[in-house]
Amino acid sequence: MDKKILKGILFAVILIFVLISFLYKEREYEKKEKKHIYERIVSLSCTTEILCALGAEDKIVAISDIDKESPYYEILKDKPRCGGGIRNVNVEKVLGFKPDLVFCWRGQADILRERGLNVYAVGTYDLEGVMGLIMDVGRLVGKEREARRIVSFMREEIKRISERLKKVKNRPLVYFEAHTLGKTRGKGSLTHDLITRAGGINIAKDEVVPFPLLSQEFIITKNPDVIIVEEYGASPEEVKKRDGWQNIKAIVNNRVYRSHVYFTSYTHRCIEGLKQFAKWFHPELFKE
Amino acid sequence: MRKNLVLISLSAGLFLTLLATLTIGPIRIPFGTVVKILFSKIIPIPQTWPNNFYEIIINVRLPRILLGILIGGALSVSGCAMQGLFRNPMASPYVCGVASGGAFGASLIIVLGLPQVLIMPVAFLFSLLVVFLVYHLAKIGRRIPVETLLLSGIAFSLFFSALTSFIQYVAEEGQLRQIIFWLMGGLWASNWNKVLSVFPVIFLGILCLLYFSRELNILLLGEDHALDVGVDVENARKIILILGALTTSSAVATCGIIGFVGLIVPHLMRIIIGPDHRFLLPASCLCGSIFLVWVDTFARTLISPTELPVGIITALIGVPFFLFLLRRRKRLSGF
Repeated sequence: MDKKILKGILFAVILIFVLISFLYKEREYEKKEKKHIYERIVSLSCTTEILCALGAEDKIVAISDIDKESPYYEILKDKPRCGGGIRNVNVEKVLGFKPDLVFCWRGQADILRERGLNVYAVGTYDLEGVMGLIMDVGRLVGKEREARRIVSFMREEIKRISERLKKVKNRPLVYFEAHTLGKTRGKGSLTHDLITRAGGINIAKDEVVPFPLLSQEFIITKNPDVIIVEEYGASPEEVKKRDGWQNIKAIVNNRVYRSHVYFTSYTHRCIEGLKQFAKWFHPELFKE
Repeated sequence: MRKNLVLISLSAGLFLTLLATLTIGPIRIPFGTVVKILFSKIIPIPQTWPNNFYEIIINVRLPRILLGILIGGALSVSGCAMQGLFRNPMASPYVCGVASGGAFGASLIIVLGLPQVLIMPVAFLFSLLVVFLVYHLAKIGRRIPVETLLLSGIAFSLFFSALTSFIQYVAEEGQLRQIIFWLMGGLWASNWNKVLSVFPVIFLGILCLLYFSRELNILLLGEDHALDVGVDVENARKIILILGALTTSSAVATCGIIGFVGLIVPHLMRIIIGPDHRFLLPASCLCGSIFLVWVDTFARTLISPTELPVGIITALIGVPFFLFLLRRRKRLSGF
C-alpha cells in the first residue's frame, strides 16, 4: 500500500517536472526573440517565401525541398537544402550552417531545439495567425516596416472583401477536398477560415477534428453549391464522374474548381486564395 | 451435418448483413424506404423519397458493401488457403509480399503525379511481380520449400517496404499524405467502377481456391503423405499460391492494405468448424465478408460524418474476440 502511494507521488513529481521544463523552454525562447536581429537563417517552412517577400533572402543560408514550388525559386535555387516536408530534417546539415535562427514546422522543432539551436516553429491555423507570423518574421530579421506593409495590404484586401459580402444573404455551401476523397478541412484550419471569410459555408464546420475524413453520404446529403479540389488530389473532371455525385448542385451547375496549394498555405499569398474563393462563391460581386 | 448448418447460417447471415448495413449509415434512411429504393430499379414504385436517398443507397452504400463483401471474402479465403498450404498459422498472402508490392506500385504512381486511375492496375501489377520474384527465388530445382518461400517473401516485403519508405521520404507534402492514406486502407472511396473491375478476378479466384480444398486437406497431412495419395504437391502448391496472390493483390489494389482479416477469420473458422478445407474455405469466405462489412459499418458510423480507418476497428474488435476464443481453446486447431 505504502509502495503504491510512493510510486504515485514519484510519478506526479516527475510529471510536474516535465511540465515545468516544457513551460520553461517556451518562455526562454520568447524572451530572446524580442530584441535580437538574426543574420544567418535556415528556413525549413513556409517562412522562406515570407522572408523573400520581405527582401531578406540574403539572410537565408539554407532552405528545404518544399521551396521548389515557391515563386521565388529563381533566387533560391542555388541555396543548399536540408530537409523537406513537415517532419524530415537533416539536423547535421542544419548544424553545419551555424544558423542563429531556424524557422521550421512544429514537428521539426523539438529535434532542432535539443541541439541548442534557436528555433521558431510555425504553428498557425487561421488568417490572423498568418499575419502574426509575417509580423514575427519581420521583427526577427529587422524588416518590420516591410512586414507591416504586407500585413496592412492583406488587411485591406480582407476588409474590401468582407465589405462587399456584407449585403450577401445566401452564402453557398462549400466542400473542400484535399488529397483524398472525403478528406477536408474543418474549424481550426486556415482553409476553413478562408472559406468563411470569402463568404462561403464550409460543410465541415461542425466537425470536432480540424482535418476530418467525411463520408460520401454526408457530402451528398449536404449537397454543396461549390466543390473545391486541391491541385494534387482528384481533378474536377474525376469529381464530376463520381458515382452518386451527379445530383450535387456544384456538379449540376458546373461549379467544381481546382485550388492551388498556395491558396491555402501559410503565407501572404493565401490572400490570393481568399480572393479566388470569393470570386468562385460570389461571381456576381467580384467581376473584375 | 453441423458443418452444413454453420455454412447455411453464415450464408443467411451474409444476406441479413447486406440488408441491415444498407439501412445503417451517417444519414438515417428508414428500412422501408431502402427496400423500396432497391426494388424501384426493377418494378416501378412511385417515388416518395428525396433524390439524394436514391444516390446514397444505390451509388454509395451498395457499392461499398458489395466491395466489402468481395474484399473480406478474398482476404479470408486466400489467408486460409495460405495457412493450410504452408501449414503455418502465421502465413498469409501479405507474407509473400503482395501488400508491400502493391503499396510500392501505388506510391510510385502518386509520387510521379500520374492520374489516380492508374493506381489500381499498377498496384496490382507490382503485387503480382513481387509474388513472382518471391516464388522464383524460393524455388530450388522443381521444389518450393516452405521455409525458403516464407523467408524470401519476408525479405522481399522488407525490401519493397524500404522502397516505399524512400518514396515517402522524397514525396512532397500532399503526395505523402495521399500515400499514407492509401497504405492505411479502407473502403470509404468505393464506387461501382471498383466493384465491377475486381469482381471477376476475386470471384473466379475464390471459386478456384474452393475447388482446391481437397488438395489442401491432403497437404495438411504432410508432403510425403500427399505424394503417397497421388497429389502432385508442387503443382498444387504453385496453383494455390498464384490463385491466393491474384485474389489478394486485386483486393489490395482496390482498397489498400487491410490487415487482420486474412489472419483472424480463418483461425476463427478453424476453431468453430474444424480443419476440413471443404467447409473451412467457404466458411472463411462468408465470415470474412460479414466481418469486414460490419467492421466497415462501424468505421463509417461511429463518429459520423467523419470516417475512421477500417484497420483500427478490425484490430480493436477482432483482436480481443480472437484472443478470447484462443484462450478458450488453448491452442489453434488444425495444425
